[in-house]
Amino acid sequence: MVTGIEQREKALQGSQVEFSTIFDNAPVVMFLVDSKRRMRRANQATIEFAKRQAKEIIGDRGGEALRCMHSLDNLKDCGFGDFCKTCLVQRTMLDTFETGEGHYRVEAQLPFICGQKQQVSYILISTTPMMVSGEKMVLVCLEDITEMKQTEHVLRESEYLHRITLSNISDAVFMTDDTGTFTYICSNVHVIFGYSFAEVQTFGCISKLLGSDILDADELERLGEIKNIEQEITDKTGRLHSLLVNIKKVSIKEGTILYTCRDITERKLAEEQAHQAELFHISRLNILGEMASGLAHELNQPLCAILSCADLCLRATAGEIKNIDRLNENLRTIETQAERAGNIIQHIRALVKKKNTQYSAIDVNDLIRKTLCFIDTDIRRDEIKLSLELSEQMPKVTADPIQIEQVLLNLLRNAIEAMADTDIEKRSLIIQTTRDSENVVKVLMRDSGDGMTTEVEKQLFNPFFTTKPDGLGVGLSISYSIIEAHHGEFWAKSNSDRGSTFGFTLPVAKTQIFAL
Amino acid sequence: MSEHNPTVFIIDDDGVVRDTIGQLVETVDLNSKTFASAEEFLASYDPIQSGCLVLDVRMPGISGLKLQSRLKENNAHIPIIFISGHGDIQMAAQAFKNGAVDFIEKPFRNQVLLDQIQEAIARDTQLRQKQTIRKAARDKLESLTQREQEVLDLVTAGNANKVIATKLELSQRTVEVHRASIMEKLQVDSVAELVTLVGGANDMQ
Repeated sequence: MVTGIEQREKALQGSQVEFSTIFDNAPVVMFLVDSKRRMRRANQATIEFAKRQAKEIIGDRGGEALRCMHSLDNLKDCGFGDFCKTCLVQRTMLDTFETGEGHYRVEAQLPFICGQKQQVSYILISTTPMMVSGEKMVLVCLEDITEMKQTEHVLRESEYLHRITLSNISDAVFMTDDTGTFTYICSNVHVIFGYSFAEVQTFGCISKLLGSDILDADELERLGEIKNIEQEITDKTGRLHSLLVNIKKVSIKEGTILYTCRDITERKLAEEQAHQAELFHISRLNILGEMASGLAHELNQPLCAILSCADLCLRATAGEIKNIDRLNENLRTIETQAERAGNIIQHIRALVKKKNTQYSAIDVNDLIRKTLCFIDTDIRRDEIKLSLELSEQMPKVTADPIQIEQVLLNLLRNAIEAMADTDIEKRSLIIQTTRDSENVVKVLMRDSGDGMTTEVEKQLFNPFFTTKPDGLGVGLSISYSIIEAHHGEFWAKSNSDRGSTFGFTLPVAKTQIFAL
Repeated sequence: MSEHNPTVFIIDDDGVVRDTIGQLVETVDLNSKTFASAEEFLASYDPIQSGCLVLDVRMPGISGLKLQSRLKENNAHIPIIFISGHGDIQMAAQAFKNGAVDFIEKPFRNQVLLDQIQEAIARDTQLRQKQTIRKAARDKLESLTQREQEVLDLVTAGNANKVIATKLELSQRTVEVHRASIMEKLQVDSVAELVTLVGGANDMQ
């Protein structure tokens, strides 16, 4: 017959077995410390953590059992060393003994000996006061969080690296949720947009910064990424920027979109300038082509003189000429005429050469005279009456001489061609220079040709518009661009009597402004 | 007389070209006169002066071609050699149509120009000789009476004395007297010579 006591003992035994099993197999280090602060009982995790046998541990002080480096160095054992005074594990345990209050997950560091190596472990310590057979004891639980700490450290480092990288590249980076609301704004946002980080934050939404048309949501959904979107934006100061934007769905959170913006304003400007320089160059070659016969004549003059003088010299040295006084003079003529031919060729080469815009202070009157030398043959052939009304008091202007010469040649050629059907007696070309104001010089070219219809006048500066059967239609539009690039004005109008007047202005060179 | 000392007139707006051609001409013992423009030349030119013109096609003011036609209009038949900076076929064609000796493109060899100058002067000399002959013939023809002139016209037209007498309602004898007087005044011995003389006087050049 089973008595009530036996039944209770059996139940007690059963529950003891139950709790022992739980205690022994709990995955955290758990041990019971008695009132003498010695290990009374330790679970399997403790034995594994200490890397010692169970019987070796029981009766040891905590630090000794767990092979705390400080307790091992100390002859008097755990709790008596210098370090022990600050040991958080010990203090937490003692506090529970003294106050009878438990502690939950206090983070502490312990230097353990692990094999040959000393290793600092991060642990969370929890303590619970217990009365076992009338004796005050404390149940200590230790959770080893070293690995977690290490992971956290690596993450922190990686996060720092990304943050540093993002704030040091010139691109601007943003993240938004699927409604376009910012979830991340790079700290260097002001570099491109001019707005501070805080200002952009108050915008709240990416479309306020990049424009409402920036994202094609369907396309992003389909492709996952949209690359190289060219977007024009205005920065805080009102300056226009060209951006290259990449948009990508990222898997940080559902709906997160990453925007990277690169400022390509300078690059585009350089590209445009290069393209324009190319056009200027092509148009110069075109003019030169049209001028080929005139240039050939221009070169023929000195060549003819050289040939003729050389012959005279030969005749003199062969004794055919008795009077050899002029031998020297003729040799000198050969020299100067060869120089003249060389100068013409140099001039042509300068026009043909492809080069970047080079501003300098130039004398417009000089440039006009030089340019006229080039086209003089055509003016004479067509028997055009040329009048130069060049103001004597002309300051120098800031300009690229080759490009302005190109404009002059264009206008001269147009004027000559405009008068092709005009009666010879009525052909006249007036070139006038004046100082328009303190800072501006004006050049006018007035022909007596057929003039322009209003229709022509309207389209005059359009690229590829031409009234000539074999014209390219780029001359005037390029002249316009050149003067525009020089911060000048370019215009054309029909004269009240006959023909047209073309004019442009150029800025006076800075050093000349006060020379009025 | 001046016509025995032909002069080469050089007209070019390029001083160096003008000057070297002048020197070149002097090497063959010809006179030269240089002008910077057609206007300058016209101001001093006397058609009686023999020689030739070396003329630049393209010049400011009156161009070479214009000067050529202006001279022609004024019956000044001085031979012209054109020099041109850049060959313009149209211009050359017009120059030749108006009787140019040559159309030389720059740059040219001096000898080529010199040969053409000699040729032009020879042409001018020939022309002037013809003009002298014609003038002499005209002077002689002018000494004939009205009646003698009528007889001469019929003789050179190939009519026999009998026919002439009928046409002019004269006796054959009177025609013979007129005819002898004509031969005497014009200093010719045959009808053939007579025809040549009349032809020379009417020779249009």
